[in-house]
Amino acid sequence: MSEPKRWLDQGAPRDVEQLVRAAQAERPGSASLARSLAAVGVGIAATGVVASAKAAGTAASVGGTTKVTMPFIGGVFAKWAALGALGGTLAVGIVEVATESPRPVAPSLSLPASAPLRPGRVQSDVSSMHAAPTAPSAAPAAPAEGPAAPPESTAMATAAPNAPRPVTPGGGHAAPSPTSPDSAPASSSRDADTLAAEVKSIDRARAALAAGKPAQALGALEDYERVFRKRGFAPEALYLRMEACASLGRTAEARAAAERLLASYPNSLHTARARAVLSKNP
Amino acid sequence: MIGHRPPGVSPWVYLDASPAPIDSTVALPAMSREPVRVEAFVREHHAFVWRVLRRSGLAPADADDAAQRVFITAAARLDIIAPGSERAFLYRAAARVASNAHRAARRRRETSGLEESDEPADLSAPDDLLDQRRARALLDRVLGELSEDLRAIIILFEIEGFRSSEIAEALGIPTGTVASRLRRARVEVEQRVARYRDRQPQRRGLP
Repeated sequence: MSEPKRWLDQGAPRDVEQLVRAAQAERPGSASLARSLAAVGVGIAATGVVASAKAAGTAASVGGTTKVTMPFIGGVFAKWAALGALGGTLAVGIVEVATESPRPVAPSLSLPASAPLRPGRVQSDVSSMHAAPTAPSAAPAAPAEGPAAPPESTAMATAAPNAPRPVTPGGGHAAPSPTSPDSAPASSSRDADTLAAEVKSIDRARAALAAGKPAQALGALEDYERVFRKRGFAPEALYLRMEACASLGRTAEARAAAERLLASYPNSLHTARARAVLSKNP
Repeated sequence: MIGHRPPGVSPWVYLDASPAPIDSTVALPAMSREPVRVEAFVREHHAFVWRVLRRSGLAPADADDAAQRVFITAAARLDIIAPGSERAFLYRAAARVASNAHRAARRRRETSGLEESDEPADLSAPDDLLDQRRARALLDRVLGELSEDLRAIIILFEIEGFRSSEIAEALGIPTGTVASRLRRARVEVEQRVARYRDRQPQRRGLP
């Protein structure tokens, strides 16, 4: 059976052709890729995402037999484990990647996986390190009491420095944000530097929280938010603020952050944690 | 052999089947054993997944979030995705995640009673090729009006360049069905685009 010809190959109506070309031209921001990488526990790299993808070759390479170039951001680097919407908190051994090492080091504990595959089956698939009761409607909530094993969050470094995500109060989806540039992902070194700096900044907050120092985390967050007005890591910043405030017993602020997370970032990985915070702190 | 699934088993079976609960003591093989492979996988397919999510009706930032979910799912299943079937698998995962996101949004609207502000799509036909954002808004509006089956065909065949056999695998349909579905989908899209175009009283910029 011969392949049908595509619209673009056979003279589709001009309008239709324009639509298809526009769709093909759309690119995620470099931040978006970095966030997906972080979500699977892989080290965040600055830019060169297209080049690296080509260098990486096929996904069939096993065990480092394929040489992969992975740019790293300076020497300050840590893995964030995905959690939040995936079922509460998980204490993960965060490994600082050595400055010179080109290879990412896997976290010492496994990551939670599986986004919910069926509606309704939200986070009951994943049990966290802290055995948490599963409420029928809410996600399993890891107790926020323990600075001993503070929650880790996925850091997503991101962003198109020129595109903040608008926050729409009052619920519902935010209007499509200009987060992703229409053109090719940022490849200029200036964007890379900004991204790198942003990663470092938000990572300070994450590290503080991970180290059981929520007050310090809040301070780091303030620094981050002051410097990076256009925040690619807005969901993560909100998440960290929520957890830090919850740890400190600043319930009203924790709730406010949780509500804003749910309203503005309904599809983020942190929604389960946000709901948990709200249900535990009425 | 890693990466092989039994012949005759579609990759999406593994996606649909309810997974055993994954707890933290079960090391997710790919992620912890083969970080290089996982990273390469994400890098190679991220833009594709993101575009699919966009054409499935998610705003750019929501698509960012949804892509994370897709890759977490895929990374956990990396060992059972047969080489060559990655995009089929990822498409299924993305369609699921998008569908869940929409479902959750509808629930939120119902329970909160708040009207979601649909950003008013500027549906006037784009006069110049550079006005891509408007073009995509129109495309997304039209795609949103199609059934999921027809939308999938347009996304995979026309936009993402899948072969018919890839589409058959991704959607779990016979190859012959791909062609007939494609014909229907094209007619739908062309008609709707023409309708939107004809609605506009005048075209911008013309003397």
